[in-house]
Amino acid sequence: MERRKTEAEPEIEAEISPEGAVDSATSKVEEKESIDADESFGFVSKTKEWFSDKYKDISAGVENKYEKAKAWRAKEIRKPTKKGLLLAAKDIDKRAGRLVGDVIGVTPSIIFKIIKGLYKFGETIIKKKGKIGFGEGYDIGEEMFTFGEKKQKN
Amino acid sequence: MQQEKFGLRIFNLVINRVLKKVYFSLDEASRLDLEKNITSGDEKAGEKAVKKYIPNFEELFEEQAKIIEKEIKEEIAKEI
Repeated sequence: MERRKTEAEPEIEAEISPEGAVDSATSKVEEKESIDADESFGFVSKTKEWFSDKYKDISAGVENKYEKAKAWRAKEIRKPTKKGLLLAAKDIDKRAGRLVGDVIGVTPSIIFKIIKGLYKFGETIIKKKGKIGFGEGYDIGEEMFTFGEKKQKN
Repeated sequence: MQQEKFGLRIFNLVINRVLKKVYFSLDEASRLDLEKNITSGDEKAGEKAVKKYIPNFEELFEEQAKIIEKEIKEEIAKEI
């Protein structure tokens, strides 16, 4: 016999969004991080700002470089040489980051892939109402991390 | 804008872990030299020091990013 939904239930379901779930889960990891501070805390605090500032500066520029890298790959793909094909097979996300010409240039593309992976995971798990195996969830994220390498291997 | 802010939150989590690993992998003199160069305000000196003391930065960042992603997913799974 099917259970009748109470009036409050649809509201509760509507409150859970992938963005909300990801935001809340990230806050929990941030809380744990602040609790787990150790002897490296001083060093990390002093040096972190330099990296964060650079990340903010370059993350906006990466999008433009990404487009350029895509165009570069499209051009290389048309070259019928082995070198051309090998170059074209290289990951464009990483290349886009490196084109920014910075030691941490690759980080925005990695962060972007994490965000995509997390939202996709959140969306899937909400659809399945929590009935998702961790392996399946991890695969979703791993797919985001392969930077196209997985597809090339297969 | 929201996405940018969220990206920075994730970045900060990952860089925290990366720098923790760096701290424990360096001797005291190297830590001080890295810190001195990074906080000097000289961009080139900072870049040079990072390349010198964290030559595997990209690898470390990817490794720690995967760990952070896994931890956030575990938290999501607990909440839903």
